[in-house]
Amino acid sequence: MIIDCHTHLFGRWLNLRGIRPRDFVRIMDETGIEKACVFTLEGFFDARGANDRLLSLTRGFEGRLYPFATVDPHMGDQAVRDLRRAVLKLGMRGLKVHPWLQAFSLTNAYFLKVVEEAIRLNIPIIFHSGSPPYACPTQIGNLARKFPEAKLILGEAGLKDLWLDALAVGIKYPNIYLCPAASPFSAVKEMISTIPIGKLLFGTDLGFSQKEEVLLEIEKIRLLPLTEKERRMVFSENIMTLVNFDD
Amino acid sequence: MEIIDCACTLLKGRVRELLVEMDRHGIERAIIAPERNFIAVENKPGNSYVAAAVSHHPDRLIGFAVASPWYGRKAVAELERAFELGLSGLKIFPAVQGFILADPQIFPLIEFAEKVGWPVYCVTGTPICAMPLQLAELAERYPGVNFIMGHGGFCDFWNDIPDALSRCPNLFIETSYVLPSQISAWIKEAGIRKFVFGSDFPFSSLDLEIKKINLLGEAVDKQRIFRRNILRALGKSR
Repeated sequence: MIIDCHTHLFGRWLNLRGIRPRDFVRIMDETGIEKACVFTLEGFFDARGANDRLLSLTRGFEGRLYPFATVDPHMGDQAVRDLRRAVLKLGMRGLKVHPWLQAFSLTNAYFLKVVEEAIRLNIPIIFHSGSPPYACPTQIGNLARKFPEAKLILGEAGLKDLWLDALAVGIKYPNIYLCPAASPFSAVKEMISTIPIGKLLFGTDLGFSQKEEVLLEIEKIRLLPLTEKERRMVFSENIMTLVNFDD
Repeated sequence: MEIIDCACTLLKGRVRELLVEMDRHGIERAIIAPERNFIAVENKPGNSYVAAAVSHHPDRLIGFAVASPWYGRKAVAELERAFELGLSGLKIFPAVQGFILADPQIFPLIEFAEKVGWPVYCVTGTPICAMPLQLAELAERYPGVNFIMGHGGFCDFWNDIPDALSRCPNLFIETSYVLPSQISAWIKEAGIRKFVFGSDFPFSSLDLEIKKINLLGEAVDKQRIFRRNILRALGKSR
């Protein structure tokens, strides 16, 4: 089974249009993805309301699409209330933030309250990572140090320029997990040989990317020198320890 | 189809491994440059081992030279030596060599490339020193030099790519790391003549980088990306 832990469902961001749920699930079927954690495409700029819209897009696809919330840390305590509502009332499974696009620092006191709430709700937080000035792996590592109970996922695992940082914080902090979508192949090879395999997750960024990228990301994992057990862990078992996929 | 891979690193002493991989993937010729420490500091031995590989396999390998601009006149002298050894282009790597593309200290190296007809391959994508529009400025300053935007500005500069390419007739873009859906969109905006295949072997996967180009739609003339465009970019230096 393959679970894609990093995707974006339909939405509008400037002139970009995401993929509509029916087409999205068709791509999952064609590429062999059973379940996907889906994030907003537009909500990074209009978090309030985005969670409801995302939830409504997943209706009819229960068991396939598992929505993650986003919140706007600029709103202070309101962001904390939005997260509670998204998880407890809307049934969302995790939190996605994109500090670069959402323009906030991971050291900001407002955001730290959101992290504390995510810990109370027992949900993981997935970050875009690899882009200065707000989305660097060492900044997420710093957060992991402050909050050892938080479950923090580095989406993109530092990308092309900061994967060494992602590797370092992945080794150093037990509560950091890496989702190396779009990371260099040699970097991922290095990760599987130095980081416990239980910390590596599969994701494609579908929605920003397309079916072609999904095929390449699956192939990437297949080309890695892993045992079948380890491949299963990366493809699905690891993310199942972090996210509640119960229906 | 015979493929020319314009972005390979030759690890010292690993020529055979490179040739085996090239054969396995149908790569007819590869543009090679030295590995990182030789790019940053040990330029002379780096250029020498690349030149030696080229002289042993002139029908398979094309060598690009490196020189840290911090060496000033000595950097140009090293490029002259590399030219005499049979290398065919200049590779610059601002993030590893420690300069930003607007820094005049790189100009004498570009002027040398212009004098001998070399293209210039520049690794891009790293803020603050190697962004696509910084390379476009350099390309406009030297319209007689062909520039290749290594790794296509991956990852965060995708918005700047079509303008950078459209502004500069002498600017090409190399495809490693770039997502295929982005390549498809940029081909529509900037034209297919700009795109040259590179794998960043051995750091990216040759398998995946070739597969990616083959996933582009049927309307895309892959022969141009895999071969014809880089021959144009190389000009007389090939």
